[in-house]
Amino acid sequence: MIITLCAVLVFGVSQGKRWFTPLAQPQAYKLNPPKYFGDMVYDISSNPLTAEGIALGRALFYDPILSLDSTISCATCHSSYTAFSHVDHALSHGIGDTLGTRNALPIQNVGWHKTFRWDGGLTHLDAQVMAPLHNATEMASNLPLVFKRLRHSDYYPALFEAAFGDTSISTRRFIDALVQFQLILISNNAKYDSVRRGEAKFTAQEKKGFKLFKRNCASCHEPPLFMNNDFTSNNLPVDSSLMDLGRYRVTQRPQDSLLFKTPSLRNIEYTYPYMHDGRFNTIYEVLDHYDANVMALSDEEQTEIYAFLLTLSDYSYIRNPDFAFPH
Amino acid sequence: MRLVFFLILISASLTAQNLHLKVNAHEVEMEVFMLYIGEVSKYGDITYELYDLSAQSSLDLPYTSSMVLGVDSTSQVISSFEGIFDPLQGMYWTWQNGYIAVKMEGKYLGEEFVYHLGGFREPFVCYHIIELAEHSLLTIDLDAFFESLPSDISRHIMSPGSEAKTVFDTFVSNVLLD
Repeated sequence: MIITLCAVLVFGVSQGKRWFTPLAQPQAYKLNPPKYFGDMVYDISSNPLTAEGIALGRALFYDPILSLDSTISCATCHSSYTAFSHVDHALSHGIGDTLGTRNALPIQNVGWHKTFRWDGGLTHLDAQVMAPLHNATEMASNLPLVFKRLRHSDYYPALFEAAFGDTSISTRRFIDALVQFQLILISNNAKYDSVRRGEAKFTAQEKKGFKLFKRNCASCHEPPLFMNNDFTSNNLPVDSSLMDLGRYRVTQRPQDSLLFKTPSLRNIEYTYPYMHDGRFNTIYEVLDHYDANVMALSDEEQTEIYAFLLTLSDYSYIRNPDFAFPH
Repeated sequence: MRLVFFLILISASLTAQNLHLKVNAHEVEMEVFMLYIGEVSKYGDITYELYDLSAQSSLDLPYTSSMVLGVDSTSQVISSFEGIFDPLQGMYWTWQNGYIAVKMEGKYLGEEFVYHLGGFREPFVCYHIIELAEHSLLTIDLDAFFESLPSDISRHIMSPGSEAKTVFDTFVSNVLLD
């Protein structure tokens, strides 16, 4: 019987006929970050990237059906055109115009982050995926509801099958897909990077600005990612209407009161307003704040630092069609 | 629709090969009672079970020399998000990492309580190791637990911290071995 079966298969192949539909394998997707970024924090072997997984994650990222009333998506507060931040909104908005308590952080180079959110309450990218989905002032949704919608949609079962081999929709797969899409959001093509690669040169003003930056800012905003995966005081008084004590909320240690995660300064030009509660609208306001509390810079020096900060703008990142709304 | 359990004395008995876990309670209207319990192997590996009062028959506890209540910090941070650790189980905090160790919701002496006890950050770690020795009966005495709670403790605790730690410690002090 085995011999017969083999003969049939061989015959089938020899005649150019297809006796069965082979399962299409998801295509592996290789990240190519610059070496000077160092090792990723995220263990990518636990969630190997595939083109299909990323496509599914991208579809989910831009789909408002994740929110309770199907009005907002991840992209509502994380627009690709502003380095996945919520530009012009001091505090993020949720469904029904509910107002959050913090400024939405940009999404970029998340594979190198050890903690997430301004208070670092989430220590794994996988966990971050579910936070806005459940937050009452963001999507106010829940996984059972979302999965029900996904299962009844016209196209998600097929997207899950393409990414994972069958149409089953689970928490693990949901997380993996959204994480895969976010992992490819690597910003590494600013002028700073071109200089680093030897393809461009800073202007004299930028060069002076970088020197000042290294002396005054880089201890927290460490190049090349311009963050330090740590929490620091930004010397801002607490907003009495928000009473956001930052890291203290997570640890309840007095010494952590008013510490906030150091945000990356990459693409800072696009991600206004600034600080954890978005209280500053311009980079100069931020510089004035630190100038009054920590640094002592002349107007000219402020301008030089500003010029350097603009070299962290990655236009190719914010205009990458692979990151934008999927058509 | 939420199931409501009126627990009078022995309300749940988990039949197992060698280890029995039961819950004692008076005057408690328990709507939700779930907890993570782990069996520690001689190599130190922990096999977790999620005890859900509403699905008690699904739990089977083989005898081990020690067990844990709550989830160890590594499993809190690096999760499979599958099976009993699937957030669909309702035991995962989403605004921060981690799993609720003990989830209790209901009424005690007519007063509503909601206790989501957990946390893996010092000094408010809600994780407890039980050395079973030769004991084979694990009793969670909710009567004694409620009676021994500090009178000024909140009846609504849903975040890790000092209050959750206090309530958790009171809870584990009322897990009795026979």
